[in-house]
Amino acid sequence: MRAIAILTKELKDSLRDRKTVVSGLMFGLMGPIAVFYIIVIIAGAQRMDATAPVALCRLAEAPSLLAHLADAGIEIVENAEICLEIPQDFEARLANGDAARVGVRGDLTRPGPALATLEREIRSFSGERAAQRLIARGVAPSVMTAVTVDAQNINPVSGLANTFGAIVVIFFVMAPFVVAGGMAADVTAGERERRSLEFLLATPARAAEIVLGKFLAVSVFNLAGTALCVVIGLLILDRSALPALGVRLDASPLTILLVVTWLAPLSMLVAAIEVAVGFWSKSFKDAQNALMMFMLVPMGIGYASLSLSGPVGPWPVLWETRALAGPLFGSTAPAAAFVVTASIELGLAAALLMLAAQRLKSPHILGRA
Amino acid sequence: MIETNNLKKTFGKVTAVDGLSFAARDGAITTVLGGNGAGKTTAFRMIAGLIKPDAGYVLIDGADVARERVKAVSQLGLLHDEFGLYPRLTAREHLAFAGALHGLGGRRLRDAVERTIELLDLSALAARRTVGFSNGERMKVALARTLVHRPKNLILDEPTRGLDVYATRVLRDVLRRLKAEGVCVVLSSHAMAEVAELSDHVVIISQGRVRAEGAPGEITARERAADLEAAFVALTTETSMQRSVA
Repeated sequence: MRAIAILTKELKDSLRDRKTVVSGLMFGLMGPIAVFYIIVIIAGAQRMDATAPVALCRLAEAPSLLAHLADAGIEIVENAEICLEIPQDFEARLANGDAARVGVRGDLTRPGPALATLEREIRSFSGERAAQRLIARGVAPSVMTAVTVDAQNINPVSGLANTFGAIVVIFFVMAPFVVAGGMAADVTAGERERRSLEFLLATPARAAEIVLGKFLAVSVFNLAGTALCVVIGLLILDRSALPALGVRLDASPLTILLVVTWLAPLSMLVAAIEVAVGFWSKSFKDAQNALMMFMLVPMGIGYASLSLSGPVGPWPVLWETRALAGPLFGSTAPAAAFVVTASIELGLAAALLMLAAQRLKSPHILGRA
Repeated sequence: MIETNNLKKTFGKVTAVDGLSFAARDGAITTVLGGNGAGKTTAFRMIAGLIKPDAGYVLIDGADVARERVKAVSQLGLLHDEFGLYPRLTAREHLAFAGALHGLGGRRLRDAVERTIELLDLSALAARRTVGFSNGERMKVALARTLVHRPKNLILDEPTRGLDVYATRVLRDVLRRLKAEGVCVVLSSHAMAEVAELSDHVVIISQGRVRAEGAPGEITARERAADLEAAFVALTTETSMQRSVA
């Protein structure tokens, strides 16, 4: 009952604090918008690059090569970022059965497909001519090819799509770490700093009830903020250019429900960590700094998980970074059972809350911040 | 009634309270006098169950604070010098929160809040958030919060610090009213004239021990001092010198 009184008071108090509300909503609102624009910019660059024209830098007669490139959809214009240099003796050398050199100039560090397409089509043209020469000499073209490579892409999405998918998942996993940090610092270290903790401890409320009330308040705020972040994030990202990058995002209500449910135990674990850190911090500023560093945890684990293959186990954060890909992208990434991970996370949360309650019984908690 | 019996508390090598024993009666104002670092705040915190004594015990209306904390503190109100208000809550919300923590709910809670607002003449402030309140207004809200559950025992740690003369008078009037209602009031203060006027019983402590206790007039006469301040200085200086020599 007393825990409920504390929960109600903390929610009322925090919702009246503009800084807490704005910092909680900022990630949910601005994060998806930022990701949306990054996707728009990269998808736009990909589209532009995919249809990038080629310019002829040195005027030369090469009708057969130009016809081959035109058939492959490569447009030849006067000025372009990719430049094809065809020497004057190109056609003559081809006719004599000699090797002809062409030059390709451009920014070779750009990973776009235009340059690769041009090179592939020139090699294709070269292969066709070589085959014609061999046939003319009575040699089967297969003589020149001892081994052929038959490469098949079994991944339905591109590497870029994978990366973007991972970014979206890490963004959602980060939400519980970002949403309620300010509130948690205020209801714990802030309580101590404004000297109201002494009043609270002098009431019949037990240390465990105080910690539970504050934990529930931070958890409610964290869950609501995370849910809002997921809903807004999916609605915005669903309207982004993700499909152009090969990412098929499922933004159905069922997916939203699943993602929020799967993030709920992690949100509660994070709330427990924030409350414990807050009560162990000497001041509001100390708590804020510690919790800011804490926000880097999901980012680090999330990006590290990209290099892991196979099952990752039921570990907090790591499990979520894999499991959320399921409902979001229809991925088949292995995931341990939700119940196991939730049990670990809620067990850790309970242990941390007990530690925080012990801290409230220490005479040091009443020392000056 | 509050009774402390042989209370001891050390922090590392520092002995804050060293065998403190005194009793504060119902319907009386007991003032604990002591210089800075004499152990008043530590003693009050042990009485309120905020910290555990290394030895000794505290009884509040017969309930041992260490063994029956909830029962004991249900009959206690604690006001410390910095008040510790929540700037985004209104005065009325402060009282409702404190009442709820003391187990009040529904109509009982609403009645308790309105009665306390009336007692401390807080109507004009009740609906305002406490951010920007003057020191006197903050004291009134903090005191009201301490009284909302009608405790039979009240502890005030330097309540007049930082208050102007008007706020001090308000506090004095409230304490007299509470005393008349049979409440056991224990406070600490440095304002000797006020202590002499307001207190029924004075406990002078130094280095965590009781040096003298009794009615203000009795202590002054016993020490053959001109007033309570002179008696206090004589008692506490003597103790400090004895310690220095030892």
